[in-house]
Amino acid sequence: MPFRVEQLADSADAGGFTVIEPFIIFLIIVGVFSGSMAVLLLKKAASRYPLRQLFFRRVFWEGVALFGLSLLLYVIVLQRIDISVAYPLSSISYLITTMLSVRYLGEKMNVWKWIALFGVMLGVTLIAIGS
Amino acid sequence: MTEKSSLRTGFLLMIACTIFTSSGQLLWKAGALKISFLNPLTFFNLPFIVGCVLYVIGSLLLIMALRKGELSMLYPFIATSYVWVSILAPFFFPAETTNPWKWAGVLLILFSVCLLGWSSSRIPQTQEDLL
Repeated sequence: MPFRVEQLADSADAGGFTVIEPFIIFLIIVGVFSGSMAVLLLKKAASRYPLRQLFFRRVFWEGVALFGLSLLLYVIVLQRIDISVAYPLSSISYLITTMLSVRYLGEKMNVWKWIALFGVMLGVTLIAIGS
Repeated sequence: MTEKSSLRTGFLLMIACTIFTSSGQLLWKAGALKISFLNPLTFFNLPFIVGCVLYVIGSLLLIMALRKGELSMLYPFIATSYVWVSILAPFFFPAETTNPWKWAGVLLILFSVCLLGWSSSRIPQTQEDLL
């Protein structure tokens, strides 16, 4: 895998930034969605089974696998694009995770949760601007 | 009442989780500088391995936290890792500086997360805690 990452970087340098960009955006989208899905699955597993049983449950390992995938994609993306672009894009995961928990876990939102959610996303964006 | 104190434990576990994962990430970065893809043995350097251990501990804390309350309530706490990284990074990497944008982002994230904690203690939770 490390070699593939290096090759990716080399080919991008040779081909120019515009060639790789749609692919990078695709990677970010996949990474953000798999990260949010991973947390959703981990939450399901964690609230359904006691800690000791967790490691023998399929849903837990599906969550771990998706988590690993999103982490790997994040590392690959960070090698290609600037933090000031990657952070705001990855902060969409807070919104997606919240929407998934409303849709699939039946959680209720209130005005404070919405304010906090957008505050967090804006905060991450501000840090990105300063980076 | 027990639900609220359980949620408070969840908040604290999330914060502990982000402290572990962000120091893990900083150690990863320190270790990554020593890694050469041509020599896989360089993966076994101390900062990188300790970083991995911290990251695993952080992930276990995340699992424990997710048992304590709603995902939409707990997940935004992940953003506090930006706070720890912004504070810790200049110590690890002198080249990384802070600036007003970053501080504004850090304060906004802290404020948003406090808002979540505050709203959870004020507004009665109609939602059942666990599935």
